[in-house]
Amino acid sequence: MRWIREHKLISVLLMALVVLSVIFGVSVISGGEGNGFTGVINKGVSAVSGGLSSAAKAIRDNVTGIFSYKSLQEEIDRLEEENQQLKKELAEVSLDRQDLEQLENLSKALDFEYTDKEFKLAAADITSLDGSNWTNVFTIDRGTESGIEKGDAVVNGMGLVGRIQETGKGWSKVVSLIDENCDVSFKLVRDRKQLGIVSGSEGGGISGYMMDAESTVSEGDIIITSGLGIYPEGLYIGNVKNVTYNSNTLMKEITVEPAVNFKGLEKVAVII
Amino acid sequence: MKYWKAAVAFTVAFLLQTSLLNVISIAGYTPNLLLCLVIVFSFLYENGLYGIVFGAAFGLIYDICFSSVLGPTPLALLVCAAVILVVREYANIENIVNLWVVSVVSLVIFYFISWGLFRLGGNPESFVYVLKRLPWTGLYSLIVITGIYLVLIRKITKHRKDRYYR
Repeated sequence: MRWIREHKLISVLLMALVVLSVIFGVSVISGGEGNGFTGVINKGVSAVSGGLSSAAKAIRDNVTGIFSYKSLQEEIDRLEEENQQLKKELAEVSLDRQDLEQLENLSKALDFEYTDKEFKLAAADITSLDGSNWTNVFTIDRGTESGIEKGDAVVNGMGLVGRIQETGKGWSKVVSLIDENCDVSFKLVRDRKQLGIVSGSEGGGISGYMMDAESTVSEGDIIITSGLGIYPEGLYIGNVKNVTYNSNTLMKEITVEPAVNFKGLEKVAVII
Repeated sequence: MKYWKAAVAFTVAFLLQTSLLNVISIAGYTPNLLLCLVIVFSFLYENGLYGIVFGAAFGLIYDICFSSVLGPTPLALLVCAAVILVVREYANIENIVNLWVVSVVSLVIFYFISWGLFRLGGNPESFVYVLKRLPWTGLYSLIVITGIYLVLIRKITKHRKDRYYR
């Protein structure tokens, strides 16, 4: 005890090292599973950071708006024009919709399984981001109380965002698609028999490979989730940006432009 | 410096890191504020407990919130604090060049150790990925470290430019 009192700094350092090493060891063995204590901390940080994030976003949006008045005006003009065009298209589509309803009724009458799936969603706000320049994990303000479970897919209006890594009451940790920890099985929209796997890559992109070396994948191909693994089928992942043949692995490797703009994420929805 | 002041500084840094900094990041890069504080506090204050205690505590909270395994961030911060505490015994803390050298070494140590531990924990990030991000993150952090240092050094050594004062 006397030695500890005389060498306070070294003692604290060694104790902290031992305690943290034990925590690290236990965490690795248990596969990073959280407990009640980590849940409380996550909820607390999520609550405080959520308010700060909203304030920061509001400031950024307002400041950006002041400095980009001219481009915003142009954007409004363009959107008004687009709105007119869409109204015209909507009138045409409503006629097609009547045809579709008739077809659906017919398929039900014939007991034919309708393939389009409807997902139950839980909308959530992003409350905090890791900001580490390294991993791509963020926290949302919905958790087990909304029926969210570990492994649920997270989407937004543009496409697949990631998956739930951990969840508790009032919070969930999401690993985004651009994280190297996130592997997704996909298929091409053009030919749904052509499968592959993508994961996050350096610089916030997505890259992967095709299962079949003879695949006809090409630049611009749209890829969606295949339904194999934890992600439901048909979620938009992105567009193929580049295709190369790796003579070492004998596989076609691809880089993908994600459908989602991960830098501007504010709201997401969890498929439950 | 009193402990509560250091605690407030680390709390603010943590909250900024997880909210505001992501909004004002430059080309997707942000400084690591926790690491910046650990480096400056360990370098400037003889009582190196600030960096060790708060670095470990907030590093652990950070891992709880954002990492797949617990421990790599506080352990890497702890090693950085320990290295700086040894180096500061032989360095003139009033010379900013010494701070820059110590900071660069600490940044490299931090990112390599945390990468290694995360790798042990099952994260697949490649070493090349860390190397690619390190220069920009390091540069950004170095600017923040310099700013914090210039504020705190005035309080630690008053009239430091006055040679008669010494």
